Amino acid sequence: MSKPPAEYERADDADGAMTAPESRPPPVARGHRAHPGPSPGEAEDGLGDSEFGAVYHEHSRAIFYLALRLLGDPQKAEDATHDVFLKAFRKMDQFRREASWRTWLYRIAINHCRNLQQTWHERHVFTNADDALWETAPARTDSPLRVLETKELGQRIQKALDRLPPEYRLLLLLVADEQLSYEEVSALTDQSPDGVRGKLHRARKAFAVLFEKTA
Amino acid sequence: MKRQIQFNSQEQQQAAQQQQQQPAPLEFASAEEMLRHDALHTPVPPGIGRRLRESLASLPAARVSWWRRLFGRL
Repeated sequence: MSKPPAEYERADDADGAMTAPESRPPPVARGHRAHPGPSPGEAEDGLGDSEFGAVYHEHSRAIFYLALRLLGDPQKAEDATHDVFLKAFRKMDQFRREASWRTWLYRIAINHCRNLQQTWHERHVFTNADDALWETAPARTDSPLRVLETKELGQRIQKALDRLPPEYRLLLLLVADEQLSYEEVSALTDQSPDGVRGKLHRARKAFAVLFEKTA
Repeated sequence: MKRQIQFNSQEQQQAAQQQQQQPAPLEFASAEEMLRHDALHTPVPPGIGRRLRESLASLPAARVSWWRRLFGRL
């Protein structure tokens, strides 16, 4: 296998690497913000320029994606995201600013999704995630083949994540967010940063094996 | 025969051109990179923002206790 470019190497990356895709966004130092820019519907939701509106616009994508991949259903993820931000709004005065907005929102989202999953498990409600429509936003330069690949990739990712132990699934989803430091991930998963790194190695391997089986 | 050879070579050239025009398959260096790519291509449904706005508008006004109204926030 070819070695990845130097800017993508991290001290804890012990896994093999393949060549980097051409459409990768520029790397962001862990724990720092990326600047994804305003989303297409930002002006339409009417949340305005308030502090809460800014929080929603900046963090909604991350929270929705976490809910989507934890719950495996777009509609449930939409409902959960709405509920998470509603809870956050109600508790905004209790937010002490010791943690970042994103960490705080993730904490609410993780607890909310756990409660939902526990409720569903108890009620033996099964959703058929295979029939869900995975909406993807094709880039302007994407060919139809790339759009299809992206959509199929999302389906395969969901299948692989569904088969992972919950702690590995959550860990991978949080670590994938470059705005979170390892310390923040460890706080959200109730373990030490070293514990995060050790478990992350096993989670990556498990995910890779499961992902290959989805082909 | 000569014409057929030329036609075959034209076919081969076209096939080679089509192969070059096809985008390279997606490849990722790690599971996290794959998830980041997936997240980048997963838009937030615009309905969430609208629903949230409606929900916020329907929330009752926060009740402030009399002593806070009198002395302000401590």
